[in-house]
Amino acid sequence: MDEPDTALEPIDRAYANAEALLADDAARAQRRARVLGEIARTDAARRAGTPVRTGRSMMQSGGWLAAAGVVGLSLFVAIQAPQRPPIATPAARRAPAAGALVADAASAPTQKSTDHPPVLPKVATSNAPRIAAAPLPVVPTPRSGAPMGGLARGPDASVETDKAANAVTDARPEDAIAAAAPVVAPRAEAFAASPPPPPRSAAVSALRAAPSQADRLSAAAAAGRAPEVEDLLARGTPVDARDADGDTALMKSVVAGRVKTAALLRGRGASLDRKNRAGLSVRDVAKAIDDPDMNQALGVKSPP
Amino acid sequence: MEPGPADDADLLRAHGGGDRHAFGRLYDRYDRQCFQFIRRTLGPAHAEAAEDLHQDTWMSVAAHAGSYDARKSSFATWLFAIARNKVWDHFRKQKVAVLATGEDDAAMRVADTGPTPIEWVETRELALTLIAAVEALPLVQRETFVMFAQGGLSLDEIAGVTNVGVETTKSRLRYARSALRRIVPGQRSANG
Repeated sequence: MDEPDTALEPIDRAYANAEALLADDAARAQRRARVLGEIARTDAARRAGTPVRTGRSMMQSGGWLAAAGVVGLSLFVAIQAPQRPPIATPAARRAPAAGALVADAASAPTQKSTDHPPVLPKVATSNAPRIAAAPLPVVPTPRSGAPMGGLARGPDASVETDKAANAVTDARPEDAIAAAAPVVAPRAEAFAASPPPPPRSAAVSALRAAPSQADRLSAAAAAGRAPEVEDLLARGTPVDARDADGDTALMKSVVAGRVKTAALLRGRGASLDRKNRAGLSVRDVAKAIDDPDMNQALGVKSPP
Repeated sequence: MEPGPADDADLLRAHGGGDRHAFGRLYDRYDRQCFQFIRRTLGPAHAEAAEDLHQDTWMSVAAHAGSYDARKSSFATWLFAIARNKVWDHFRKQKVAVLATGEDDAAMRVADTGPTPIEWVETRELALTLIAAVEALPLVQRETFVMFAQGGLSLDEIAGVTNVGVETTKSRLRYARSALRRIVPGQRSANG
């Protein structure tokens, strides 16, 4: 009687076939690069004895948002309300979950005894909130071009929306960061040499400069958009400019597995040894990932 | 990437020993099933969390590779247990009340004599319909069905992952199949 339950039935095969039909290999490859890159990065950080900070915690748990929130609030205070006393930024509520991996350890499976899933209430209350956190300030959500492959999606993402991760968007969150970025000295000096425009517009123009380009460069590198990378470099973006995460474009391209883009950046003199906030260089990450193609693109030797 | 002959546990050990390629090979063996399990278990309302939970799952596998004991379970069982914990933790954090309905009792009474459904999904539309039907199943049936049909886990293994008895697992699977057969179009054509 029980035998039929142990074998695959037509409906089982139909489901497996449906999944195969809807499979998105490009999204899968991107996911692979991100996951393995993050693991390699974490391993490298552990070996180097530096604090572990996951890409997710940087991008999706608030680091990016915190940065955007801080600079946005700073700009608002500077331009719109100069007489107001400083106020605390709400972005602090979404401070990066550094140590998310450490938190994982608490729920790490131990193959039975402590591996039970949480027991959830058996009775659902109709008015139970689906999201615990209070509504947060509206901040642009990182999309395809986001560093480290941020893949936050809209709530209506349904069966197969992985391709959205590859989509190149026009209105990118980096623009929002750029519009709210702190004043950069060189740009301010450049403006100082020109006829004095209205102070506010000059400041706003200055704020749109360097940070935006660095973030754009990183985003383009992470997404493998080589033409955009070339364009940004041609427009004077430093090849080793650090983005909001503290990573260089080359670092982002390596983590995302963008071999051609990495080769392009290396060809433009991008450093292998410039370290990010975690104390890791491109060389460290490449060594940990050990992708022969990437190593060749970077001009580094594969570990024995 | 074609998996090599190395056993899953060997690959995990090799990863722990510093083999830089071992983890990638292990990942390539199971990433698709793992992601689909997470994605389907989350359902459409929480689809946006799938990428994060998938990454969290593999980060946990990498971080706790040393605690895996091949004598206790297969790697797949261990992996799905981790993935399931991530999903349920997500639901808990989001304060989503998961109804553990009395479907098990009902499932035991379901006669598994429905018409044979289509076996080969040829159109994207039909695939989407079937996937939507799977995602509409009660959570415990859904996870059981996906682990069995797509993940390749045995009933015993699923029972271990979900911490229920084999009979309960069996009834959940049976009920899920029965529900899907009623939903998927074309099933009638098999019987004329």
